[in-house]
Amino acid sequence: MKEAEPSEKEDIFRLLIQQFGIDTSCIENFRFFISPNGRIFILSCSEYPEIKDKYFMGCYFGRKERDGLRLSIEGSQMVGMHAKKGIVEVTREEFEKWMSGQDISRENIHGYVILKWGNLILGCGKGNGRYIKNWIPRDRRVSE
Amino acid sequence: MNSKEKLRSINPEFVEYYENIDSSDEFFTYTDRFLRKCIRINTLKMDESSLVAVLTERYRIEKIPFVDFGYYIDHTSPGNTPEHQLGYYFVQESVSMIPPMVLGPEPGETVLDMAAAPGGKTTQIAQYMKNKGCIIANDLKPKRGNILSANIQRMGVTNTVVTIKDGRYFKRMQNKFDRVLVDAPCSNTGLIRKNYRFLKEWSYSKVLKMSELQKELIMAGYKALKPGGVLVYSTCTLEPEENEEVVDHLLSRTDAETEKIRINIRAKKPFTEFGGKEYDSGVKNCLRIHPQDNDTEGFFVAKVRKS
Repeated sequence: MKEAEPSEKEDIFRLLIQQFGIDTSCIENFRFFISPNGRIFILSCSEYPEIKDKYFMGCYFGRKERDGLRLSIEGSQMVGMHAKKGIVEVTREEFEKWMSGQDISRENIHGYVILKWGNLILGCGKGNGRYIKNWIPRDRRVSE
Repeated sequence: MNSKEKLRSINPEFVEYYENIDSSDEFFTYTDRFLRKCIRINTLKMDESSLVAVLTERYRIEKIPFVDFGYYIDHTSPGNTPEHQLGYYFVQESVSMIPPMVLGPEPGETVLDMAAAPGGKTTQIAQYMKNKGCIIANDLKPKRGNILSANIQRMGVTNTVVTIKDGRYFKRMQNKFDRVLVDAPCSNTGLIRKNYRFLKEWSYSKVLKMSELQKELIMAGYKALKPGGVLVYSTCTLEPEENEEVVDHLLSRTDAETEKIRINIRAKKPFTEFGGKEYDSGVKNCLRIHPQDNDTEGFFVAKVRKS
């Protein structure tokens, strides 16, 4: 995993502004790292250079896709409270459905959105005009 | 058959030994009783009052009086709710929230959590630090490191580096950390209330082996601590060999001093001698909690400051 170049960090910020209208000052103090498979991690502390073999570092924030930034649940929660657009409010029934891993019907929603039920931020999905695709990882879903 | 006889039928050596520690019927009755389910609210994701309001709409919760952010929850499976999966709370036994409280980490400090998995205490430390400063969260095995990393992720912790090492490794990082938590591997008798497996596996020879390892871990943790820094030693077991004797080992070999733990909780007096061994009087400051004191796991906590 390597630390993001300033241009890569700027690119992440550009997408956050474009998709969610956030003021990026809320995350500018984080250090961004990018794994070989394109996953973006954020870290708010120094790296401890004397420890060579780190096992895991920081928090998975999201992944840059060809058509935008796909946020993790935690990335969505960090950004979601500052977002001015790209937010979809769901009903209680949809909240339960989403957390069990099911897609949610929504017309005219295109691209990456953050889902919210009341004060709870549920993560990121992608609308295709008919439904919002669910990306809750299997181990974070509520089982029957 | 009463609880003591029931426990004796499973592991007679355990009951025979524990009669020297607490021979009361209450001790054995509570050791054999199921625990109330507890959660710790994650203020890294939402402030406590807002989250309590959200949870109260869907569950019956009740504040645990002696810990920060802790609540009893009336739910058969609190690890399988949307709020848990979204990282708004952590399922954590009430007394296991005490060591991070006693450690008292502040934003901006450097903290070592030497035996960190599954991460309840690490993520609680991050909560006190408001994700500022740095935590090294270590555990011995990659499998446990994966659980630790997943919980750090779920709780939205951004100031932590996970390492997989024998905790004794950290003795080489001398005077590096403002605070060190040694929540040591132990005989786990406090966990009998969760699973009889810990009762079946208990043996005195294992206690002695654990005690030797714990003495090495506390010494390593103390070396890694900055002068003036705080080390907290804790276990979820009640054998003096794994608790007071380990603290005595540190006190008698270093300039470490224990400090009184000021938490409003019922507790037993620590042992100042056991099995023919006399301990340093500093062990009187430790916190020894038996299951019947507050209807919790059995637990032991010591707070030490480096001169």
